Amino acid sequence: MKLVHLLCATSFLAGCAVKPPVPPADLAPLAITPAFAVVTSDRASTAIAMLDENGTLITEAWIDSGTTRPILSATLDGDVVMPTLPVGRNVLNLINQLGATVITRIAIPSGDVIAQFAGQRPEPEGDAALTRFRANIQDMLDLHDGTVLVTRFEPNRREGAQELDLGNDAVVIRLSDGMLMDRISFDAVNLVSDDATYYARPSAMVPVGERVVVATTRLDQLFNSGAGAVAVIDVPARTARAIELPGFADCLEAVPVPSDATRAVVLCQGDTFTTMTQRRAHAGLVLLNLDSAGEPQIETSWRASEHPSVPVPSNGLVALSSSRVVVNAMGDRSENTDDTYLLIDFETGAADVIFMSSGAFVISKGAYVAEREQLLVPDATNGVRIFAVSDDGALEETRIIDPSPYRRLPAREIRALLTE
Amino acid sequence: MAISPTWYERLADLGMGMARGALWMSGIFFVLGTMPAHAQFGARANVDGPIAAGSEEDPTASETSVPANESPRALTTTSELLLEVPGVRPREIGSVGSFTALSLRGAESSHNVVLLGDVPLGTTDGGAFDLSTVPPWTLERIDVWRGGAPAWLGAGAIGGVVSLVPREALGTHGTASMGMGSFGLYTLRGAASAVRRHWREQAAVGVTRSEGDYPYIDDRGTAFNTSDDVQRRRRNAQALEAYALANARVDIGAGALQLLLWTFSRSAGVPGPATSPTELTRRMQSRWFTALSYSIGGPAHDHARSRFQVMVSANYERLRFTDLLGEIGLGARATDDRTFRLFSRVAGELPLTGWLSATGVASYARESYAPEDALARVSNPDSIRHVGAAVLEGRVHGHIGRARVELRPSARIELAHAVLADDRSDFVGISHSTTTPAPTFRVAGVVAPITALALSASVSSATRLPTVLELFGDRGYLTGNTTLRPEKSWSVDASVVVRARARALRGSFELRGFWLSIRDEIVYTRTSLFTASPLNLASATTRGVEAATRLQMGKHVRLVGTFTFLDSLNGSDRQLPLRPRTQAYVRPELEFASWGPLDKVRFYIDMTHIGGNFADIANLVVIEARTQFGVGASVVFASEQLELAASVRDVFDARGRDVLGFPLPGRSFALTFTVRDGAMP
Repeated sequence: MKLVHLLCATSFLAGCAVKPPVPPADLAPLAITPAFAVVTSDRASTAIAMLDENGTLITEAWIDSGTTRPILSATLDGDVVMPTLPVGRNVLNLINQLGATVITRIAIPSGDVIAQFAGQRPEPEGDAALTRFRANIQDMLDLHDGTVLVTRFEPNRREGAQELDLGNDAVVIRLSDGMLMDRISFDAVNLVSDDATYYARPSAMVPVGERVVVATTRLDQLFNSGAGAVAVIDVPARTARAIELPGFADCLEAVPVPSDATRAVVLCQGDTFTTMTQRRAHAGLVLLNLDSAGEPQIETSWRASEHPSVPVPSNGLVALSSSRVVVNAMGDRSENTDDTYLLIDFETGAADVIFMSSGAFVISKGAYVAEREQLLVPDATNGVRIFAVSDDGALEETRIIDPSPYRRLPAREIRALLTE
Repeated sequence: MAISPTWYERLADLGMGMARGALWMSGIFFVLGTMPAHAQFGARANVDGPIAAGSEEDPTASETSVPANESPRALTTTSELLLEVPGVRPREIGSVGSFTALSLRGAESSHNVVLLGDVPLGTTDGGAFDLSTVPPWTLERIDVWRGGAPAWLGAGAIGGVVSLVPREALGTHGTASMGMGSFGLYTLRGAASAVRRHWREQAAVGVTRSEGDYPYIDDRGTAFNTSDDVQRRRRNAQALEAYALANARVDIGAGALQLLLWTFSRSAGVPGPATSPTELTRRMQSRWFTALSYSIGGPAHDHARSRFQVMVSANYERLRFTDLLGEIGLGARATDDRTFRLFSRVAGELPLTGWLSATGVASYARESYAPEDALARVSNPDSIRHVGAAVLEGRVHGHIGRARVELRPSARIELAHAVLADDRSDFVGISHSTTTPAPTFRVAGVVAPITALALSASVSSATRLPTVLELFGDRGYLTGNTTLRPEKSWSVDASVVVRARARALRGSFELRGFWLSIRDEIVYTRTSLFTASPLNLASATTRGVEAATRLQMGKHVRLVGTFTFLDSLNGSDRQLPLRPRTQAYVRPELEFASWGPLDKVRFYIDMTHIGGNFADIANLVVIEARTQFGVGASVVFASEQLELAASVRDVFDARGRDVLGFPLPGRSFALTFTVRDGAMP
């Protein structure tokens, strides 16, 4: 009798066990080959939705934060991005930026986890000094030799940190085992003044010719911004140098130009900790091409200060061609403005409003597929907006889909996948 | 996907089960309770004693008391004591010296008021109170009011009120104790008290040191790759703390003058999340508290007599946090925040007629907050807040037949005026002061059909004023919002309390159900590229059941048990994170007096169950349920002058966590040796 009572009590307690509102995503093999991956997230947990080439939802969560039971970390935290360019064919690459600083590679469509490795060296055992710092990995670029280049935003200020643990750099990682092989320092890109060091803090990478252009934010340890610049990496030589962008600041995004491996577009947000009105002074876009020596140079620019009636571009840059880009101008609640999605033409300087969202900080980086003339834009309050891009450059919204009907997570980022 | 039963179906099933159990228990106690009490010489006695409810101060309130220094556990902590209170959820992130938040009835940890004596301990920055800064050694007991609190306390809160009753002199004696435990834990404590005809005084001091280097499994963030998992030890988790209490009471005239001095200091490492261990981040905090009061009148439950109290108090706190390498936050920080509060209160209870008495309390607090950050981009300004509050409660009481009844309607108004001393020229025209009224009310009643049984119910509202940080920001990423409204709540609860004694069995049993709805919760929302601002946006609803029992069976056996069920939902019908649906604690004890050469021997086993819960708002990440067992024993010998106690916590090394990324210590040992001199109360 006593055992029965004990079992009843245990069952009673077990019956009150917590049950997620939807079953966890389980990386089940996909029946349809996806064309796009969508990061949906409320900044605390994340799910990756998959869309086909028409933008139709295949699954709202192929993998999510609850796919595995946590030991220390969730499967995905709230700060997940995807590489600027695909790394490998038929592979979904996910970058956990801040918490776990982990890169996860998953085979499409089988769902097999190919590899999972950290963007920094593991901590030593025992009482040895810590090497760890919050690397804040930003982007991953395929070097096509079994290795990838990974940018790390944070500098490691720990005294005695070893070479591979210094941060503010790009590290070469071997894909087969996640081993950190080499490091490219960005110290030469830092801006040093009398009272502060504005660390390069590299982020997005774009191959341009034989070089790699890297967006750099140049922020000091209190996140004040210095004069704008991008970095140019010579991968074989393992060096990085700066290209100054006079009159710009906080140049945090860089994107490739479709079908043009000799150009890249850079977005500069303007000075940090300022209002939108104040940011205008140093915000804008820069188009880079290659000079006669094959080195990246400034081809042209678009400055927000020269277009006072246009909202200030801030994020979500996507190049449609070498002369036209789309970009989001974040709203500002203190000024009662919402996000405005803009189409900017480098040649004419014109900036057209494509749409305004119903809220601020809701539009993020989308994906453009030139072959299908198709643009997908994540809008956290409405879903994924799908546009047809005509030959004359007009954008027509064709549909909006909800990428997270059950988990109700906002859409944050979209990437086109490289699949068979 | 199977359709889960709705919450009310589950609650109905649970409630029916509980109701059947309660009726069964009530029936037993009804029979026992109606047996006339027998005086020593066989005469019958019919005495109108206190109503069998949780609190003598207010029998209509949901209150549970826990003695602070009677736990059989060696080196018990305040959060362990509170496991004996239903509806209470201490949330820890490490071992000794680590921050411990407290949630009452599923509310946020900032939704409680913590009192030391009758004085609020909260700070103007309004952050959650750190329960780990209250050593049980300096306390007599802890009273926890969930939902509405007695008007005499002058305080109310959305979750409830935790009253820390300071240690007081109950006899003339001295005590010295030393203890040691796992992970480098050492303590040294002393207490002395003296009681004379017209005065009594109590002093207690203590120091505790802990390394906190317990083991945990590091998955290195690679959830799919278990081959790289490794066991590590917690780093930078050492803590050194010291505390002292002096509590003196002198009879003067018709009343008594009481002086209370209380201080706590701690210097500790901040280990951070285990995924990103720290090495140099540190926190130093200190608190100095004093209160002087004069009171006239009878004990709390004797409402036939009037009582009166006037009190002044001063509370100084300093919190220093250094993170020079940006190990925890984004960027380096070196903060030094100081808070000073002057508090005064006048309270009185007056019987107006044979069936009506009134209680009135008025208080005023002046709180100054001086934050500093040596590495901030711009300096942080000082702020001052004036808070005045007044409570008026009526107590209607009497009998309906043989049943005692009591009704307590009350109203409270709190008025807060906050001012920021901003000297920046570029902020001309921006308001730097705000005045916020916050009225609340409560209507509660109790029926005691027999001495051993009380049935109570209440409806109440409560508020939480916006903090200084929420109002004025930190001049960095967080901007202020002076238009913020107080967070508001409504709650309803009903209780059955049985308290009786019959031959060898005596004890209490309480069963409570409640519904709590919170509106206008303040959440931070991004407002521009580099800033976030607080807005009244969120809402939450919690339904729950609490049960607790304390039983003494014969001379040798005791039982303590609690159970809590919570169903906490946000405005989108998702479970609120970090709210386990179930929580249970059971502790049977065996005690023998005069066992051979030993004066007393005591054994215990305890079980703590924390149900599974979600780590995130989207309810994707599950924190697994855990059940931990403890065992211990103590012996008293040498004419009750010496005591040796030993405990093992988490015998089966279940470990677990309350917050994702912060593993908790597993199996640990503790040993204390105590020397006493003088007659114990």
